[in-house]
Amino acid sequence: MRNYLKNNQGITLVELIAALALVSMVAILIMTTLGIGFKHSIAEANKTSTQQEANLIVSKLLNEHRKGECYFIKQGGSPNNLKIMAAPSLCTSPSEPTTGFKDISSSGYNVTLTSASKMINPIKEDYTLVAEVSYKKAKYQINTKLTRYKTTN
Amino acid sequence: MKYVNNHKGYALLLVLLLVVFFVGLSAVFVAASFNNAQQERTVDVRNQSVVAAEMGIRYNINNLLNEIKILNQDYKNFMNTSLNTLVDKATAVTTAKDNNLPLPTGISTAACNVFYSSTHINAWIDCETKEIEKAGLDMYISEVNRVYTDLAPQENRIDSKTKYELMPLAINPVFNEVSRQIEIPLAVQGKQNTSAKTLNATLIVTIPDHTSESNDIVIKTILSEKETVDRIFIPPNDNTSICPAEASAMTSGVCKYTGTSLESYLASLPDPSKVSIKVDDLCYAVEDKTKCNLNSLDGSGGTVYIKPSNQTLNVDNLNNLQDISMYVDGDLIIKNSNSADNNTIVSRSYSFHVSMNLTNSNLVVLGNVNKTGYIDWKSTGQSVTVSTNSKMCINLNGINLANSSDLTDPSILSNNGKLILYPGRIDMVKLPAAVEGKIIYMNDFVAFLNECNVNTSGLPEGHSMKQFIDSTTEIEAKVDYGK
Repeated sequence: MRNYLKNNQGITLVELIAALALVSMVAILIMTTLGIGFKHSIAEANKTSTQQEANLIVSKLLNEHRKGECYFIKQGGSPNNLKIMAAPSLCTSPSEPTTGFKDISSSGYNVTLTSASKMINPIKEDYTLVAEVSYKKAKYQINTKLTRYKTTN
Repeated sequence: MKYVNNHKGYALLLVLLLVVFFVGLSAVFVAASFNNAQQERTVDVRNQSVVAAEMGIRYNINNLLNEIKILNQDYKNFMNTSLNTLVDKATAVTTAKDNNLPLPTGISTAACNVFYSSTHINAWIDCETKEIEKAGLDMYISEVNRVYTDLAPQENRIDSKTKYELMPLAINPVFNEVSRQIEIPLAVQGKQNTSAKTLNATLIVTIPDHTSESNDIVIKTILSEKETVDRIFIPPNDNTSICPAEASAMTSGVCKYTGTSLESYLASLPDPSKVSIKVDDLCYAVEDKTKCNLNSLDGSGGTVYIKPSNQTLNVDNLNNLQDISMYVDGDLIIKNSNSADNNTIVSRSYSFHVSMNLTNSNLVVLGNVNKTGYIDWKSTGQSVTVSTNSKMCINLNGINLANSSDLTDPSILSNNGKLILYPGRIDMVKLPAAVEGKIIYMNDFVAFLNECNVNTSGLPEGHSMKQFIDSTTEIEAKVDYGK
């Protein structure tokens, strides 16, 4: 060690250039790999997030459905009208209630309801929910049936 | 130390570090992915447990439904048998009443004994019907309780990880008397792995009810002859109102006339056929209280109900009586009457002191329950002629033939006049033999009255009894999914 420290000889320019070139190449390789990794990671995270939002929407609506009381489901919300909303409704009136709507989907997600916007009587009928959830560039299609035990006669 | 101070092997170290770095990075991604998968699995398992519980609810409700279908059949049979037995009992009672026999003993339930007498038969039938309904309901409810108790807590396995279980319940079925509904509570727990979900269900069974009045059984001739006769002398839809002073105001219904010019009052009525007039004293109401000269009395097609205070209506002159229906709740004794045209005269007893010629008229003698009624003309040496389109109708159960004129006298009938007698007899003393179209014996009292143009619209058609018919039981299941 002492010999090494007391050694006055440096490295040559060629050696330096070669070393820099090698380090640069390795750095580029690493950066590229990391960049691609992060990009995929973000995309995957968005996708997961979208899926989780879709699961949340289904769970919330299923809870609403299983209460057994009539409710109205529609496209709405602000901004941009890209939410699913639901409100308690009179079973006798199929028209849209004027008040009582609450958001089913969360902010930041764009949700488009493609199944019918209507009054649902859970003890008489199932509801086939079709909707598209998009978050940034990720998209997820919900296609499920909300069911509960129906009144028998 | 020498090894540490060695400068060789940096590349290996670098590579190892890089490997560790990348492995660490990918581990983060994998963990995130696993986390998401775990979430999905949790949701799935929870949903599976809910579905298992739903399956259990459906299984148990179907079980109960099958039991209730059998129970409905039993209930229907019980009700039909009980009601039919009651109809038989009621018919036996009516028959006894009709024949003036003592009511059969031992057919009333203790609860209804208080109504079981010849005067409260309808109330007794209603009471017995209620008792049957009560017994039916009690049977239904106790059977439901039995079925419910038989649903012992049970566990059904769908697969190695999934099962549902009927939970024991402390609450018994609840019966709502007003809506006739029994609420049967059920709690079923669905399980998958460690996830469990309990659903609370209420099965609402509506006990089948009777049909509407239109389908009820009507027990005919529930009134005894005595009651029927008594009702004939009361106007249909009777009331206590006094006739308005202006006859034009009396368009229909019943009223009591208190004036003294009944004949002109009847003539002034807008439609005398729709009005029934009640009077206490016919003589006073028509004209003359003391002499009772009612010659040429024209009723204009009206109906007069007379209830003499001393059970006897004595009329001095009733010549040329026409166009009137008279119901005299007592004995009608007429001193002078020569002819009557287009009348219906109904009384308990009848006595003529002069000869009488009836045309287009009905003379009806209904008598009394103690058979003291009479129809008499011969004792005063006179005769009666039932002539063109006329009928003389006599309730033989109400009159004493010994105090009556000889009905076998062939001179009674003339032209197409008819003698109609109720009921047919074996003992034919003082009675003429039946002659087709002329002397007719009838055995149905109400038909006899109708044949003689007596207004029977005030008679109840019978006492209606509820009948049990097939009906679909309303069964509804409510399931509470909780929070």
